Amino acid sequence: MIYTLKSAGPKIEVDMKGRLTFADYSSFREITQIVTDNNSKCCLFDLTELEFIDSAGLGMLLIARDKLQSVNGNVILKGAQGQVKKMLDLGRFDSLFNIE
Amino acid sequence: MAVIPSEKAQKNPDQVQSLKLSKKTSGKSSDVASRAILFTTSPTTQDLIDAIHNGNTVLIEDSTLKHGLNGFEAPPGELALSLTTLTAYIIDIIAVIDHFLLHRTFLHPVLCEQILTSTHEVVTNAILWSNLEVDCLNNRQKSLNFCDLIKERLKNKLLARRLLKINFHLNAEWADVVIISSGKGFDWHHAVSKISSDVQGLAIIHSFADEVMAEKNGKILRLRFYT
Repeated sequence: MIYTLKSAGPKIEVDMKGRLTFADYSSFREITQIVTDNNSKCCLFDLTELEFIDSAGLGMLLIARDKLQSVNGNVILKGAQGQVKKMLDLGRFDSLFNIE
Repeated sequence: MAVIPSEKAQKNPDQVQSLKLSKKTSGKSSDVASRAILFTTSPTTQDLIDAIHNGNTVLIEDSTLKHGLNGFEAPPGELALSLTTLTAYIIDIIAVIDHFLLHRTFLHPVLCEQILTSTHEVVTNAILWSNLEVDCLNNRQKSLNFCDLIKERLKNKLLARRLLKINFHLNAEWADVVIISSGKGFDWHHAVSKISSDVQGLAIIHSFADEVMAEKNGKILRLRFYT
């Protein structure tokens, strides 16, 4: 997975590209560190160009959600399609996240 | 068994050092001949994709040979991979399987996506829980420090060299995927009984595969998808 930080601060926007799998814990840890460093209250993940996600990738999104919720913040998921959309549906992420 | 240099190695021996030789075998379980490549060093993702593209159906990493090759003679149109855990972790296994499925035009694209997603989940289970013996019940997988734990386990040569086999049997009626690990196995039935948001990989596999069968303490997992 390749990520691009589009904006930082109280609201962070991250574009994800490629595949988010169990091989990406390290990259995702960088993202959560940015959230911490910026004292962010909101994190928007743009998943438009994400082609594939596995159960570990879903777990990472949940970790981000837990982290933001602990500071009364939230995570927004945007643009999921194809396999990624199906996986989010399977995990009933619409009941766990704000989805645009 | 004829031993011949692989086409790619003949064309460009300096570029792909891992493709030292290829074997032509006759499958014992089938009358159809299969083509095998033995990688004397760890293959890259591109090595495996090129081998599949060139019509090879049995791809073996040399150091896995000590585990035996039972059931790995694959007729054309199918695929058998035999890799070490370290290689399976490093390469982009999704890209390799995706390339293989791409040319199976008799499979509906949605089915290909389900096969790819489920197989990846089982392979991940085989690498982490079985071969690297990461404890799946301690919830460390939820931590982002999980990557450090995986790297630590991969430093253990015994664990890193453990075998991972992936075998595809496809026809017009069904697609079978068999994943074999040589580690401690996986208590599949116990895990399935506890399916929840914490064990989403198993839920995904059960959602997409029509049949799931575990054998030998979870070291062998068979997925069947009806076309």
